[in-house]
Amino acid sequence: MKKNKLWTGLASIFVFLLCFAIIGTNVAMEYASTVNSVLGTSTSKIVTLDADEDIDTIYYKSAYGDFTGENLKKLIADTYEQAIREAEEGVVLLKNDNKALPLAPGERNVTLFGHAVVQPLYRNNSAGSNLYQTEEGVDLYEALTETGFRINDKLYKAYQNSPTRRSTGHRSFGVAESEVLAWSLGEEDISFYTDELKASWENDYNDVAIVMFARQAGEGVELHMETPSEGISQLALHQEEKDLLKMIKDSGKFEKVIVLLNTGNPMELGWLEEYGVDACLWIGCPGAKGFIGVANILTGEANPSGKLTTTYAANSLSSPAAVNNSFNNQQWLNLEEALPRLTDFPTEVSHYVVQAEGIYIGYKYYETRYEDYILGRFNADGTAGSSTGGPWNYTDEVIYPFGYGLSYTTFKQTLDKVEVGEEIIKVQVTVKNTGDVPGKSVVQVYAQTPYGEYEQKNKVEKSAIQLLDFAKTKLLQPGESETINIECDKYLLASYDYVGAKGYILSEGDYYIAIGDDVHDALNNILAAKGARGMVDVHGKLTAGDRSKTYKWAEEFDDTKYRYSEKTGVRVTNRFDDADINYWHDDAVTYLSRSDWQGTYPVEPVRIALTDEMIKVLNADFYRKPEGAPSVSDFIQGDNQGIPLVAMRGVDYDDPLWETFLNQMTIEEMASLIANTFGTKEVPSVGVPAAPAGDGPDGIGGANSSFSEEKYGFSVPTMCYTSETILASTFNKDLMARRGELMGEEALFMGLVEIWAPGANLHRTPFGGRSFEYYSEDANMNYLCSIPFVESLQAKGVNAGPKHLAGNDQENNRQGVILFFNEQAFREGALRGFEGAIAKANAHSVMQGFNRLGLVGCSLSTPLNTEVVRNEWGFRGHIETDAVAGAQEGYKSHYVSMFVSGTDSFCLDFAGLSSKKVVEAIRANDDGNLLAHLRRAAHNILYNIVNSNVMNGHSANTIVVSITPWWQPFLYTLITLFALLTIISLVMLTLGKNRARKGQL
Amino acid sequence: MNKFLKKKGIGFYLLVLSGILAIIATARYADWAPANYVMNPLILAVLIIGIVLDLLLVLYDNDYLVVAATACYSVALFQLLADNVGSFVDAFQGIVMFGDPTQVGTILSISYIIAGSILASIIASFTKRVRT
Repeated sequence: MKKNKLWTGLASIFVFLLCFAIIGTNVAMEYASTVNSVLGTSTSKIVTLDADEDIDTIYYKSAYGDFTGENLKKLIADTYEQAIREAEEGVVLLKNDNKALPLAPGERNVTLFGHAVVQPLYRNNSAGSNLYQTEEGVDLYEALTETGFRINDKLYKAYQNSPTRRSTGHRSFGVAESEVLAWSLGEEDISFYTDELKASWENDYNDVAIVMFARQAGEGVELHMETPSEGISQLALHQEEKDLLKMIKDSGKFEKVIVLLNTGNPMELGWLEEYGVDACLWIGCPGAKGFIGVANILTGEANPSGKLTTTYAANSLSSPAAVNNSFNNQQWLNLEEALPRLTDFPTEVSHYVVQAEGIYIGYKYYETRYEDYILGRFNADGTAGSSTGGPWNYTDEVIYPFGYGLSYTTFKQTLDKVEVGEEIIKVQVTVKNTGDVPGKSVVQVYAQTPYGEYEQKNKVEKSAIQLLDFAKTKLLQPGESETINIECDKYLLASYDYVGAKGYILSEGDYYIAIGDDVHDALNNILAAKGARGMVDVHGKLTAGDRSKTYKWAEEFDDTKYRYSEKTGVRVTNRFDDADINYWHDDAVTYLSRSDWQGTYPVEPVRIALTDEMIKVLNADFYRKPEGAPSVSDFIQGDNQGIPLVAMRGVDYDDPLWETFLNQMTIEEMASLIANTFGTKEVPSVGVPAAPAGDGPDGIGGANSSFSEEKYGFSVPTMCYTSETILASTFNKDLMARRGELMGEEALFMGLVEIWAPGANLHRTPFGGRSFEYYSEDANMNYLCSIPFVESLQAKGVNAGPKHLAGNDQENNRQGVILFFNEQAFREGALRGFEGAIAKANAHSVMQGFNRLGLVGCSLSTPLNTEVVRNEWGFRGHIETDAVAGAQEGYKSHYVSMFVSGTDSFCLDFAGLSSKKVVEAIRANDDGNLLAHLRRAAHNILYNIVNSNVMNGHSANTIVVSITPWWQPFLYTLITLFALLTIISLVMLTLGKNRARKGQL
Repeated sequence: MNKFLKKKGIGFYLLVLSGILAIIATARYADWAPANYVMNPLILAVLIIGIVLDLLLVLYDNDYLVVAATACYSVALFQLLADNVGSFVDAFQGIVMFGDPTQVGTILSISYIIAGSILASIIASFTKRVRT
């Protein structure tokens, strides 16, 4: 009897373990690529059949030589140096009263204030490298200590021992409601600073008070427009911070107070004067090594030359985009009635944004209204949009404008000449260092285009000023000059006219080129050239501007110059009419127009209901086999003619040989490529190797984020560079190109086919959760910054994949959020960064956004993927979704419809659901049309692979062989073992019972 | 009734405990999963089968049924965790992409209850359920 209980118990335990092994194996197989990445196991290898040493199969070589551990160390050292330099040139000096910075050699006894000093924000939660989490990460304390500072350890340790933690920027580990309870800005209450602590800076460590404040958002998490703690903008100074600054000021102990802003978002800085702050540095999210650059700036080892790429408003809510964005997203008026008729998840169809601000994002709003204010027109001085409630006034609204940034030296910039050509505008500027220390200067070239009757009649909005291009000088010694020549793209002067010409136009009238220390300074120069009076500078002081820094010419109206794509010849015209809410509801929105600031400023969100027609579009699983579609049998598949993929290297995309190559593959083999899990699987029959990919943009992250120990003898994560906003703030295209080059080298050493970078979305409002990894609020800045990065990355045989196409500029409700906009705003705003990366720099990959354009998801948008990206921009490569994560329901699960809309591959589809669905649809309906799309996608994916560094080592003499990773048979062995033990236990139990029964008999 | 209970050993009470925990877990799962679009009929089915087996065990002691009940609850537990791997990944990474990190607390709490049910069932399988 006792033995029977023993066998029963053992059977229970073994059946428990068996269930664990079976279900665990299923999960492991589903996430096989992740498991392989963690364990460092491969699924394929190259076998050389007939080695021929004369053939060089390293198609993309490293500048560091052979792929050895020793050379990798040299590369890593260069990435560290790059990251420090990015910080030195990208950190922005906002305030520097009485030359408080750089600190004198005798000013090294400092106290670090603010909880962020022990919880620094290296970067927000998102994709990218996590090197900063290793011992390679350098924080402010370490950077300052290494630079020779003596730091008040008593306070520092008190911060370390405090239970206070910043808990913004990521979701709470618990139920939804606790998010509010768990939210914490992470600053100490003033009671934390006891008399004992205060004594620590009474007589020592009081040369300088260095105060660091952080604002952390992240992927899926916007900054709050009203914080749970105080109900104010998260970008405003909060009570604990005010108390801290007051305590420092009132102590009277510190000779200097320096504030460091450790955030990727622009804080509201009207308080700097109030608390006696001597100097203020925006240090962004500095990554693993950037704090060393910050320390170098504090000591004067480096001279700051960064410029803001985002407007610093006095009140972040004064941006017209804020009215509808983020926490002001709206739900349909008839949501409750509509939901039962909608097929996707409620969270994916309920929220919408009407981008009523039109083109007026960031400086385009503040500066344009300023010009009209100065010129006394268009009701610019109305109260609508005023932070004070009184008449609108620039000085009340803007603390620091786009392009602003101080230096330890001074420069004089002279506009030598401007030559306006048909395609290019050549600008020559001479820069002289007029100060007494070496430094770099940024030449910012801006333009103004006419806003006349035609524009007002046809709703063509014009920013009073727009960035045209920029360049940075070399390190100029005191008294030294450099002449900079910039070739600006005239295309950026064109405006998209979605009403009249339905295409790009060059307006009739006077055009201005201007240089300036920042966008506001440049506009003042233009206003001076116009003879205006009453201008004010950044600090609100009257200024006359400088007309010598401007150039004026005139153009005739032209709606033909940019009518057709210069790359493909395709007509550039309206593609997104149905993304305008006025398409569905007459006059639902009046877009902000400079023709009447007071009358058109959006003061409240647009409230609308879903119509029957809108519901039809939202229920987006629309694909049906077209009538007359070819049969599957009309295509040749599986006809292997012995052409390996490597033979397609350099073959033109449109070469018919690609058709022959694709004929060799089976439907299942082609479909296996569209399910992407940080790369694609091998297809041995035609020599397609596994092609791993990395996630960006500020370092290589995702499943492939470390160098292989097996290959190089050591393993370390890839570089976590400064955030993309800091890189942009350098205004240094050489540094942007160098970033691309170094990330390309890292990917070469890892054998990656592509990196999902750069981030090319807009900082549409100051609250963007992922703004830190996008360049700017300015679309032209995104355009200009993308180009050098993409070109230099791809020169290494690594495909660049800008993300997230397009309009993915808010994190709240990001999965399915419905964006309504007009086409001018979309083309000149959200699309432009991608246009630079793709149309100008030829990026070969692109990742879509989670959002919808109008009612149609980016992945379901033929106008976006096919008509604009492929047909207008001439894109060659593959278009991928953002993470579908194997969705079986909801808007991410419309695999077939997404596929025929121009989407080629599905991100993080671990279980290959997209492949299965597409194959099922092809076979079940004998759908040759869908098969043609599958061939298109396979073509695009393979075109990228074969022309990348992944083919290094491949030749006609090599074959690709599949390998079963060791852990898979191990797991199957476990299942077998537990199954056997369960059976044995049950058999023994049965035998025991039989024996017992016989005994009773 | 007293006579009925007097014949029962510790294993019996553990099985009752296992069944009660399973009923609680089933109720919580049935309430939570549909509202969060993660309903898996398999989980619900095995939980109910496990409860039925425990009910049968109250009336009729059988070693094989105990093993079967343990198997049912085990499938429910591991399938629940497997279905929600994405939410754990998101919670770990601090993002919202593969699942819903805000639900991790609820998932864990249901999992703990099922795990308690399994533990009670396994211990019951080692012990006497009916006094002889």
